[in-house]
Amino acid sequence: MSKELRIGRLAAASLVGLVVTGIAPWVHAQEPLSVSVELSEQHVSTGDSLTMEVNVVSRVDGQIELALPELEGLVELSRSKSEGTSISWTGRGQQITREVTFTLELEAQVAGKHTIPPVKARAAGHTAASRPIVVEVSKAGGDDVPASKADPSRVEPPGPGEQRLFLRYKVDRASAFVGEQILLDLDVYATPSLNFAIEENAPPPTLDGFWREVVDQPQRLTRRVESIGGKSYQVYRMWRMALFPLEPGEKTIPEVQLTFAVNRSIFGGGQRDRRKPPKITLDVKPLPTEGRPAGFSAGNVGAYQLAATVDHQTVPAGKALVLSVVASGRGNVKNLRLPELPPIPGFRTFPPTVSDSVTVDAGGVSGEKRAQILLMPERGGRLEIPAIELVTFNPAEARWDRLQTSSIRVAVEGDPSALAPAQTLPPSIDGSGVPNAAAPREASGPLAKDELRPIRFRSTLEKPSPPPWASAPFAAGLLAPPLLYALLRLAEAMAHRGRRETPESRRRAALRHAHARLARAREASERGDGEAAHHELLEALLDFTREKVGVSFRGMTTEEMRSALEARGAPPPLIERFTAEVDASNYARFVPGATDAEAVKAALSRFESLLGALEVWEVTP
Amino acid sequence: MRRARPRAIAAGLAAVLLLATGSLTRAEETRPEQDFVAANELALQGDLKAAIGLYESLLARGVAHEDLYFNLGNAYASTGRAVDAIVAYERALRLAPGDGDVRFNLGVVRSKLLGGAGLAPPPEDGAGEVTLAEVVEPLVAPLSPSGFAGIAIAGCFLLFGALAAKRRLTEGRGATLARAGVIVGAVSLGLGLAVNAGHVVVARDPRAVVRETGDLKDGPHARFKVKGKIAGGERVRVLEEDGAFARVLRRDGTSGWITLGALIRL
Repeated sequence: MSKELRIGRLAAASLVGLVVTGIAPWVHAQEPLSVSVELSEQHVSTGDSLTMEVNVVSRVDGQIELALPELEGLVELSRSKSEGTSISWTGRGQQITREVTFTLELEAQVAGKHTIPPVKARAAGHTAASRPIVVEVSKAGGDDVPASKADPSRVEPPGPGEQRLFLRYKVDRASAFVGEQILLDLDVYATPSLNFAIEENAPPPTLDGFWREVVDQPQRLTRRVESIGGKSYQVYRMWRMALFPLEPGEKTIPEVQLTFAVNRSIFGGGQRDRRKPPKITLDVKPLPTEGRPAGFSAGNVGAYQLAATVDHQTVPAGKALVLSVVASGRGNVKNLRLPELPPIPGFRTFPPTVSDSVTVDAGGVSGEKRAQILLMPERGGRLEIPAIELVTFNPAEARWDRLQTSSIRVAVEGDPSALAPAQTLPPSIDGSGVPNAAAPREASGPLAKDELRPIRFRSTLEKPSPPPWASAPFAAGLLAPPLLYALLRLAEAMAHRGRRETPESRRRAALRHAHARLARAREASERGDGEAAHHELLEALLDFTREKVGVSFRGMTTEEMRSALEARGAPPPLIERFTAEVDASNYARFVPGATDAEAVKAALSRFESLLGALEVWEVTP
Repeated sequence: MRRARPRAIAAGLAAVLLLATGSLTRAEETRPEQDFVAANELALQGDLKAAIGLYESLLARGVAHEDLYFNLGNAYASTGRAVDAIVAYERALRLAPGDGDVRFNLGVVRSKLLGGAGLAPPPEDGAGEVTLAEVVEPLVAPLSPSGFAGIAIAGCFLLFGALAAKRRLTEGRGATLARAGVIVGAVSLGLGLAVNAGHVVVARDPRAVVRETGDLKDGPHARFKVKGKIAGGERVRVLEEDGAFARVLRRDGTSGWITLGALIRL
């Protein structure tokens, strides 16, 4: 075959293939009836749910009949159906297309590979079937899966069926001594785009062989990002516990189960995933016996400090002091046992009160244990409280620690032994006449915790003051400000009223001014300045009359003044006297030397009389 | 000179008498404290009977202090007299409502007593009828009435002082300060009055402790039906009295009648 012929045949075959490929979907799309099946997941674990969507498209008239096959290894949880009809116009006329969709929620119950057989549909004599689909179901967790040794540096990658969501335990150490703290977290890993919520939560498990304290159990989960096997996950901490192993050996952290709703909307739907973290083992080592000091108590494991203080360095005879012994640090503070108190020469000791305060944070458990011992000096002078020792095991350093306080010196003023017991003890209460002989109890044995909070050794027993609401100063303190404020407002109102001008106030003011001018006129007269005296008299007369009448008389002629006074009802004698005084004053002012001292005195007297007459005159409006 | 001598003698005698009275008074004043310490020592030594006797003698002498009631309560509790201990603690709380140690010990003794009687202690925040005192007490107990009285007085002065200043300062920084003073003063006054009002409500609450476990009846007579049991040591509120009976309100909101003799008033 020639080369050209081969090339030609090849090209023709390609062209035919292209045409067929292009036509086939179009042909398929125009089939009278078609069925398709889709699964949300094809790899799940037992207990997980998945969604199967069966879609039937019919272009023929007639009822659609659908036969759903038996599903092996999968159980149907729920089913819903939706239908739709669309109308289109083609070259051959109107085309009605009906679409029916069944959505089934299934739960994988049996592990293995399961095939979903073809789904068959029939309508108006036409049939169609979907392709079979395979689902792989792997076993979720399970008791037969052995526990693995904990590894703080590594997170086990997700197994089959866990691709999108899985749980893991995380510890800060895989190996610890008895009593040493181990932090245990439960983390949720999810792919970045996954939408999920917790349907069923499990509380932190109780663990045999451990004393545990829940350190963190957030109401709102915070997210961090981690990479495992090159793949990025969003990680959420469900809880953190501080564990303190009680005995040596290999200890297993059991699994817990959480159920998640995945891809669920407000309309429902989505899937349910049940997840468990793989079990892990922790290695608990016994405490070393080599070099163990005497007096060690099993709960004293941790990093601690010890201190002792007294509330008074100097006490008078007959008074007690309080010795406080405090052990503080990181570890299981509640199980810490403070040491036995040795006998203290010169002191009588009383049973102690023990309390602890525990702090729980992201780093675990810490706090302090405090013992308060009442000491009563039995003799005067300088007494010494010896050092107190506590033996602990520091697991971080793997060594025994002998913690010791320093000794404390106390000065006792006076001689407590001089205070005979009969002076301080009351007579017998039971009436027998025999003083109660109560032997003091010597402190012995380990420090113990009382249930009740201890008595108060000293008190001033002052009489309770009356409550504030029954005391006069309180009432006075509350009433004083509003009263003062009311007084202030009253004073302001009165001052304002006083400043307000009324006809009466103006009249009084005018009278005052007139008298003031009269006084100045007298002074001028005594000085021998008759001109100034007359000037003052005239001004006083005119000002007073203006205030009285309401019209200024300045610049008026005598006739005009007369008329103005007559118009206001002034009696004629008054008018005559007024005009006479005005003329006399003007004369005296403008003719210097016309008046002598006697004349000025007389003018003063007349003016005073005239002023009185003007004051009593009632002006006719 | 002769007249001065009798006067001087009289003045000297008066001074001696005054000093003697003063020192006697001082001795009387410190005697209760000494007896208190002595009683405490007896208690610490384990002679609780003697300690109780001395505490009770202090009470009989009119000494009323929360420390005395507290220590007496501890002594009663240690000798098994739980109801007496509860009464002592409740009286201490009346004097010092915010005392955490008293509340703690009261809770311990009460729960032990009621648990031993097979009766569950009434819930602290009872359902049903709730009195104003029950609602208010946890809010005001830790707050000092005298402290808040001081705040109220200071607030009152600030409020009215600021009001007076506001009339004069109508603009600028002074006016702003005056307005702020009015607000702060009003809030302080309101808060102080509210806390003291709360203490008044609590102080006047007619409370009692049940002496011993007994019947709670439907009405004020022995012939009435028994509607339940009321435990010794339980704290109740006396609502009314009728003859030899009193109607009480329990912390869980239920009420009933009980004989007056079964109640110890606080």
